[in-house]
Amino acid sequence: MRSPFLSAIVFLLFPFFANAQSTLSGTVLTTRGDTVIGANILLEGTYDGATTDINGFFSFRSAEQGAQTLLVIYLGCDTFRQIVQLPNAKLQLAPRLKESASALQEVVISAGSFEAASDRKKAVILSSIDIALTASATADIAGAITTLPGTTRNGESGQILVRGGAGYETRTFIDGLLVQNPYNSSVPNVPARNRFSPFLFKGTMFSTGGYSAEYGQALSSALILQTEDLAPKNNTGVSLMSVGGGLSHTQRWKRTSASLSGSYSNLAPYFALLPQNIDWIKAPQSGGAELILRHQTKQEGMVKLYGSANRSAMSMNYPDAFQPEQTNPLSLLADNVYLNTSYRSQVGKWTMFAGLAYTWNRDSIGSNIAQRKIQQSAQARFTLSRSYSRKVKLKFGGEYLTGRYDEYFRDTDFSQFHVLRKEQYGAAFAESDLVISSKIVARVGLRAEHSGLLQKTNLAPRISAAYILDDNEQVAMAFGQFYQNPEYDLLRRNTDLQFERATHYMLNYQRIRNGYTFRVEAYQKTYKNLVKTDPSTYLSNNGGGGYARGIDVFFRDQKTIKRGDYWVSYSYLDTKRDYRDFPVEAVPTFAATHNVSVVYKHWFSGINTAFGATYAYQSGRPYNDPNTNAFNSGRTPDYHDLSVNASYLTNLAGHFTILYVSATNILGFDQVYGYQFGTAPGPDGRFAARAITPPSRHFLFVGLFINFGQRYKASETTKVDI
Amino acid sequence: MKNSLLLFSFLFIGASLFAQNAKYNAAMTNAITRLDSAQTSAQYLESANDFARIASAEPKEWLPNYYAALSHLSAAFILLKENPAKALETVDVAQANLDKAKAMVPGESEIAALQAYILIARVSENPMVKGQELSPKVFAELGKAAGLNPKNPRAPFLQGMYTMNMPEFYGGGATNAKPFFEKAAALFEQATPGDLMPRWGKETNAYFLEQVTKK
Repeated sequence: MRSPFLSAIVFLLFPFFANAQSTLSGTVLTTRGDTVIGANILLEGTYDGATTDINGFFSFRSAEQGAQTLLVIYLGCDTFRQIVQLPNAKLQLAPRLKESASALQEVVISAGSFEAASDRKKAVILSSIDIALTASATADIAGAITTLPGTTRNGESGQILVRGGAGYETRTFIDGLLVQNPYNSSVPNVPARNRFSPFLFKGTMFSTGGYSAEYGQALSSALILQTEDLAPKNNTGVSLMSVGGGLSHTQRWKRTSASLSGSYSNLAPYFALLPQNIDWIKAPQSGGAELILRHQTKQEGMVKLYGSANRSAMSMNYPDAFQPEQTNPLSLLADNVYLNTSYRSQVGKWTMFAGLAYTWNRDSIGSNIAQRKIQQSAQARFTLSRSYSRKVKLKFGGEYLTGRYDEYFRDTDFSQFHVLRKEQYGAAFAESDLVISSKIVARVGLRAEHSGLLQKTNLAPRISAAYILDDNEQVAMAFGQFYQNPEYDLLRRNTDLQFERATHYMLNYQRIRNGYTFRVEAYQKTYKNLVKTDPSTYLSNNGGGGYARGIDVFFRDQKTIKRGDYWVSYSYLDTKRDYRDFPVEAVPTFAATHNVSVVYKHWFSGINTAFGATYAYQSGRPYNDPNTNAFNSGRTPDYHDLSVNASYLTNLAGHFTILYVSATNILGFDQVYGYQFGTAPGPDGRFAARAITPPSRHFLFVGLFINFGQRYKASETTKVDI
Repeated sequence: MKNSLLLFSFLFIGASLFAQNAKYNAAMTNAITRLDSAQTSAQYLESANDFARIASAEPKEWLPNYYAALSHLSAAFILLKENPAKALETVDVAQANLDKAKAMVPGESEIAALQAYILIARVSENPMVKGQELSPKVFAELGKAAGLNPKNPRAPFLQGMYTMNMPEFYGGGATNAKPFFEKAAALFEQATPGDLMPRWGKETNAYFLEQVTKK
């Protein structure tokens, strides 16, 4: 008889008796044959295993019996599994690991794009703090962007000009929605600022070309801004500036934050102290209010609302368009309302985004002429994206925009005209990120657009690809076609026009390692169907075109100098175009062959001060001198600028305070942007010229920013009860 | 007879469980000893692998995951200088290890302290950019660690270390860090950690305390 007692003993003691040992050994390689150092080898569910040594070799003993699962785990590779039969006195294994595609998916194709994102996986090139601390930018997004390669400084407009493109060819997108009026309204030769504070955004992506099919209606460049999520804490801020002041309050609840701010600026006291080149009648004044709401839903969705309203006014004695030596009083009254709201959420495996934006902008100009422009647009956007596998990511979506342009004009001879243009614009896009191999990633997209105003449809393919040399180094290329509606002021007389079109090709090399960033990019851009205006009939046609080609170089070093950070950018540009009223193909007045920026920042911890300096150089820009026969053949003197700023951090009565001081052109260089000539020659038979210069030789700015509720004192910050 | 058989079986099952426990203790003790002597990033990653193996065999124990997180994090701090991209990936793995442990014992003071340490590693990667965003979270986790166990010396130790490296303006620097190191030193003296429980930090704390006292 078999005793149950005995069988129990046999069963229970089995592990102690059956002590037959196995030795498992082998060398771990990747499927490409590289040695894998530090991989974890284990028998699943047991303590037995080892780590591969410098030769990828491992060896360990095990007392386990029967079929066991051997796992090889290594970061960045798919886990290797193999069933092994034990005991086996000498088990030789040769695991091969496959690099996981998911490790590669985060690769950002570097061609054409500069990213400043808080997401560390993307190449961080500029952060919002960088923008605020860049001397010469005066905390203006556009000002900081123009220290990057591929841009040309345009002091007279303050706009971002990219790779031989005019100002209108760069478009701004906030949370994917096109911003109709990113700059404050201004008059020609008085630089405008970007409406939006750099601190609204957690991510800034500046594309100098070849960008995603998600974005359209920009021939040259896209400035893609991602707004911040929930505000971190309650805060009340007061700002006192040499040009005005502001008040803001932010309230944070558990899943919601709200912030309301108001500001007023008036340059009159400042202009009274410092000499100005412009004969101001009424110095610029502006007032505005801003509301920001954020709500995080329970399902990790995010609802965002941003609204702003702003009014500004200025008047001056402005040089006459026909006889620049004479002036006429000119006044500008500008109103702007902007709303941007969006909802982002996860729906199953899909990431869903829905957004709505509305803009109303009115500019009224009064002089010997009168002009009132009211531009409105409402835009809806919807996108869906998901990963199908670790190698394929798909995103598609659509947008619809309805716009209205209403212009009233009264000429010097009191003749009047009124233009009303209505646009119904629709677009759809699809784009896929593909991991082709462990070395090659690509993004392929297609965008289709229809303009109701032009009654035209276009189809724009976009392709970019990167060849990964190693984690920190890549070679990338991009190709794309880009379409943009002609500007409204070219559609006054006729609308039977085509989209303007640009084709981009670019080749890029980038290396980011140990606090150093180096990139160089060569590009070729071809313009077609640029709008020309017939000088006699003022009718518009698509007879224009042109090209731009060049090389952009960027180097940033955040490592060599302790507490110091600098970058150098250089752009070489060769461009010609035939557009607007050009009689022949020529270099446009906004293009400069050589552009250099050197930006330096240093933090002096002993005195709690951040110091910044920017040097900019631009070779002479063309201007058209009617005293010569060749169009746009004049060249302005080279442009130099050295700007500095300093931010001193302190506590004022226990509240965190920043004192900010900045000054442009501290060496007092003569800066000339171009020349304006009269339309009729003077008595000597020559056309009189007027130099277009900055509104003043220097711009000085002093600001005091006090944050109530932000306490940075040691005793208070670190008051965690321990 | 039947009763004695049952009793006997129980004894055996108990012995078997005990053997299992002894094996776990031995493996953990061994691995902790190895971790204590690790110096290079490769050695720390080897320790991380040791703990990952134990964690896979003991899915109900939080300590293997805790130590796997600590080992990965220690490797990451060394890698920050050599290979920042790899360091950040390693920090992600440490976070994944800690998340597993956190799910098992959400109210453990040591876990909150290690969470703070992981956040400190993320700040170290780029203090100018990350400091502002992550500092409140670091302090929140340290506060949580101290609240859950006021005797945990690693809470004031990490707070001292973070404070020491912050700009003086923000309440950092040696002078401000000193009281934390002193408090941690006192707690390290009193500490009587249970078997396998975290003990790390004492020597480093003593070193930093000496450094800040010198200044």
